[in-house]
Formats: sequence, C-alpha cells, structure tokens
Amino acid sequence: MKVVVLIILMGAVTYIPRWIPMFAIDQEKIPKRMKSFLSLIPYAALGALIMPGSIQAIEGKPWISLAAIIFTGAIVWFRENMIMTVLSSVAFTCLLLFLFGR
Amino acid sequence: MTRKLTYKDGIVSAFPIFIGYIPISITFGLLAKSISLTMLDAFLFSVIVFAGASQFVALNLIKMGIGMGEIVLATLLMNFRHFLMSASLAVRLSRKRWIPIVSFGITDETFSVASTQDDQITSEYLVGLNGTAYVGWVGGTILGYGVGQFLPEIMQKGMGIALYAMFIALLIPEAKKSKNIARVAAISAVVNMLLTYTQWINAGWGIIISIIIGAGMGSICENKEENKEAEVV
Repeated sequence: MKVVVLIILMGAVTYIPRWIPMFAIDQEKIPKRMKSFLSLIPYAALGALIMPGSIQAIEGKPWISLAAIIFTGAIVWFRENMIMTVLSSVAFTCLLLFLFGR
Repeated sequence: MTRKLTYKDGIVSAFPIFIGYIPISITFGLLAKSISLTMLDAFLFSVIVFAGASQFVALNLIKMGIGMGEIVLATLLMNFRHFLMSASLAVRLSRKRWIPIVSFGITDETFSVASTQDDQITSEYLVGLNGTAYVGWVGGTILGYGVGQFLPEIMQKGMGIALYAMFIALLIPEAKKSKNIARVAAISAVVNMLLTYTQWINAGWGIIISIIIGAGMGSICENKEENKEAEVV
C-alpha cells in the first residue's frame, strides 16, 4: 500500500468535515434554538473527552490517572489558572509514577 | 463589550496544548518508526492529517495489514465530531476570514480552548492558536522519530495527563458559573462512559452521540428555564 496515498485520503476525510460548517454557516440565518444547541457543544465535547478517556490517560495505570484527575480538579476549583494547573498536574503525575509506577 | 482576540492571544492560549501535544506526537513518531514507516511518511501524517487519535489508529491498522478503504472510513468516522465543533465555532467567529486555513486547525483541543474564551473569537486568534498547536504536533512527530527513545520514560508517561488537565481546567470554571453547562457536561460524560464500556458502538460514534445528547438536552432545559425566569445565560 502506498502510504502517501493513504495519508492524502485520510487528510481529505478529516479536512472536509472541519471545513464545511465554517464555510457554509451564515450566523444571521441560524434559528435561536439551534444557536443554543451549538453554543453548548463545547461543554458536551469536554464532558465526553474527559470521560472516560482521562481514566486511561496513563496507560495501564487507571488509579494513578484517577488520582491525577482528582488532584487537577481540586487545583482548578480553588485556583483558576490554566498554566499552573497543567504544569502541577504533570508534576504530580510524574511523582505518582515515580513512587508507585513500577 | 468584550475585546477582540488577537494573534498573540492565540499563541499564548495555545501553551497548554503545545505542552500536551509534544509527548503524544513524540509517541506517534516513535510508533511510526517502530512499524518501519519512513520519516517522511511520519512527517506527512502529522502535516496533512493533524488529528491525533486517528493517526494512531491508522498506524495500528497498517501494522495489522488492513486495507486502505477501511482505514479511510475509520478516519472519517473518528474525525466527524469536528463537524459539530466547526459548526459551533462558525457561529461565534466575529468576522470570517481565511476559512480554509482556520478550519484545517480545528482539533478537540484547539476547539475547546477557543470556544471557552469569553472574548470575541477572530480568525487571527484561531490562526495563532491552531498554528502554535500545529507546530507542537509536527515538531513532536519529528522529534519522536529522531530521538524519542532517549526521553526519560516517567516524564513521557506523566505528560500524558496534560491535555486532560487542560480539558478539566477549561470545563470547571464554566461549570461553576452555570448549572446548565455542568449538566450538559455531566450528561455527555455519562453517555460516553456507557457507550464506551458497553461497547455498543465504536468510539467515533460514541463521542458524536454523546455530544448531540448532551448539548441537545442542555438546550431543551435552557429553553424551559428561559420561559420560567427572565434570563439565563
């Protein structure tokens, strides 16, 4: 199989769904109900992306992943700072892996 | 009156995505090498497709000797959720410019960051955001192919939490502000978990269905609440 051909076809079927709505949607003509649906998509997407994927974030170590998620949730709850959250979450996970990961 | 987001805002808010993409794309580079793709192929994968999960699935299917048609179909299905995300973003974009470039860079991560901004999303902002994420993705792929095996394992694994930490950091502040948002996220999370663990359908459909059910129920509740009260954000 020609890998380059595969890559181009994969690129096309990935690109087209990303492009059509951007190209075709006219904001003025969207009914209010639909707008409310579209505006809630980010949060629905976040919910579905976090669960259950985050439990498998660290391969083969669901407990470490779960502990890291709870830790992250607690940090965000009290300090809404993106960069601090991500960095401390990575550091915490590395620590857990170092202590219990073998 | 909210402010218009600039290129620079985009680059700055891409930072957590950049951090998160590096270990994943390094892993992709490493895996591509392990199934003996050329470096050029690995590079082209990230340059042309730019969609994490489906690139990994493709490597797996290539290794198993699955045919091209099936891989392309699986890719379409997996990435079709971006159709919903693109539609959601299109409604929020203040002045549409460079649509072909802007829409190329829509991923789960860039979409999540862009769409949770309070200020006005512009094409400039999206170019900065998506472009920075793209550089991280493509750069990491090359790095992984070249020198991935020299990275300490704990760090590589530990960084796997970064994107989830980012998703959580994007969701929780919004969920604290609005009950409906919290409800939408919870519904779609529960639906996706049910679909994933019962394995009724594959993951590509699972996420799409969860998003539609979550956002759909949320907008119904929103409308009901609006009828009862004067205004709900």
